[in-house]
Amino acid sequence: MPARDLIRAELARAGASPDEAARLAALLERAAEPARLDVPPHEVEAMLGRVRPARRGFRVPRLALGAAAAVAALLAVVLLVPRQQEDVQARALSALGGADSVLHLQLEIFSALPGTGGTTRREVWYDASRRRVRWTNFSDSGDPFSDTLVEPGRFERVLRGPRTRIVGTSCRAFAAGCAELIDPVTRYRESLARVDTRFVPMSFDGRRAYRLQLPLQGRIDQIVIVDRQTLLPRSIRWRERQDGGGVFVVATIELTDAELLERDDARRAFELPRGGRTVRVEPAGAKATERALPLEQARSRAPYWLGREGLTSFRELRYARGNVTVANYGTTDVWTFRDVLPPELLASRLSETKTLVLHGRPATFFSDGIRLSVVIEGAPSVAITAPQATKEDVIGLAERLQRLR
Amino acid sequence: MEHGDEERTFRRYQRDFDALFRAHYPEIVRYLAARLGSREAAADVAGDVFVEAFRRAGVLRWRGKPMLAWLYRVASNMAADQLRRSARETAVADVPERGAPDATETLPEREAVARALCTLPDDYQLVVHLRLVEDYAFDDVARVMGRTVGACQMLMLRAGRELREALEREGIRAGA
Repeated sequence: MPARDLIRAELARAGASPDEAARLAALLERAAEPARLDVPPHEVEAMLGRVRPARRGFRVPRLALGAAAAVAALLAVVLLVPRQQEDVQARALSALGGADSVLHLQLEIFSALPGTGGTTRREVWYDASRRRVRWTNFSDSGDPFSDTLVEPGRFERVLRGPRTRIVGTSCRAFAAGCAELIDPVTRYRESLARVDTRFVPMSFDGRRAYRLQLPLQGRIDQIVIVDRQTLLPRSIRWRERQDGGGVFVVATIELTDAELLERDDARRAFELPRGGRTVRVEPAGAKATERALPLEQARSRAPYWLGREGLTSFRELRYARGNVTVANYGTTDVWTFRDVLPPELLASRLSETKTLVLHGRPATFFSDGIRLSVVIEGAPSVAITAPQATKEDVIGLAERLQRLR
Repeated sequence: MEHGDEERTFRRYQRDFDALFRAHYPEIVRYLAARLGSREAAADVAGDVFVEAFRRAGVLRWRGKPMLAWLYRVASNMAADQLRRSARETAVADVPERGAPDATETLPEREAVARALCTLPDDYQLVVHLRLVEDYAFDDVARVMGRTVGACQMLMLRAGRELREALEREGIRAGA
């Protein structure tokens, strides 16, 4: 048993006062006590005998298997059908789910864009036949902070911290833009369905695999490593071809776990957390006019700003479907918007970028190669755009954000 | 443990199911007993966890996390399924099987503490289990949970606070 003093010190290190740390250490010790059960060796051996089949056969992963019949069918296909490329491609497509199944994935997304480095952890439910995807983003401490559901004609995101539901008709109504929102597996599936590709046998992490090269958009392609047994993707790399002929890896998506679920078992996966207020958003449309706002007029709109120091101006941008207020600090802009998304904030690249929690709300960083933007969603939402900035610079600015009242 | 050693252990467990089972079955049982409130149910579900491990361990990829991390995740999912099924099927809850009561506290209070622990988020329960039941150092807890040491310590602090609040909602002054 760890010494209570040690636990107390660890709780204090995490931010508890000495008194609270002592009380919580005692409480946690009491809570843990009933689980300190003895599991004798004879029980271990008896259970091992029950769990381990007498004769070990070929290990078939549970991935991609819904029922025994499906196992038999899949093995029959693997063993009997000549391994023509088209056949492998068709099976790779079907491994992503069919009419009666939902693909459940755990992803770790490593962004390589300058200034936005870091890992985003995401859990995804992917329903190919109904063209819907739900994903949950997790913070570094493992807490879910946002849930997104995309289905035809509808886009919905729930921000757990501020208990806010943002609803739009497409990803273009969302400030982080379609680049952040489109799931990499969806893009992989679309390309696989559209383009004939070669499945090049290779070894990946000690296992037999295939390597595929598929287009994504423009100068960006994707290299996908597919497990040769399950035909599910294990790793996806998005690469951008440079002018000089080089290749820059924009993002790496590691699929840490994947399984096909029966549709009935996954029916609740597409229900987002309930409660909170709802905000409806849409793209702002074309810009009509722009005018400077005196401070007092700006105050009546309660926009976000960084304080008086360095403030150049407030501007009001009028678009076809609504207005946006911008506080300008030289090359840095602070955007406040509620139900319309200014087109200037749409991410212009396909790359996945880093999403963190700031002020208890999801903050998505993305870059257009010149400016780094961070969008903090809520009601209202706020964005900061800054040229040549790093993520740390922008976080520093975001911590200074306040409402002008 | 060094990274290379960890990977070797991971690979060994992929080849040697018996070693994996003997090394980790007891702690998975203890974890499930706390989650499910029943030693017997814990043994059954732990068996299912290792059947799953037998099927899938060979195809897992080394990603810097020990095989134990995967076992706990499967156990957590199966415990959640089991609890959902029990909630549907059981009209009258079984009395949880716990150890002998401590002389300094009443049985209802002990049950309340155990019950409150079960209501915490999965991650909170896991960090308490790994650190306080299995006595892992936070470095190892962090490896199993796939997080930083600081994040795990923060999780344990939150677990303690939520546990205290849950008990206070039941009128039990906790942490005194």
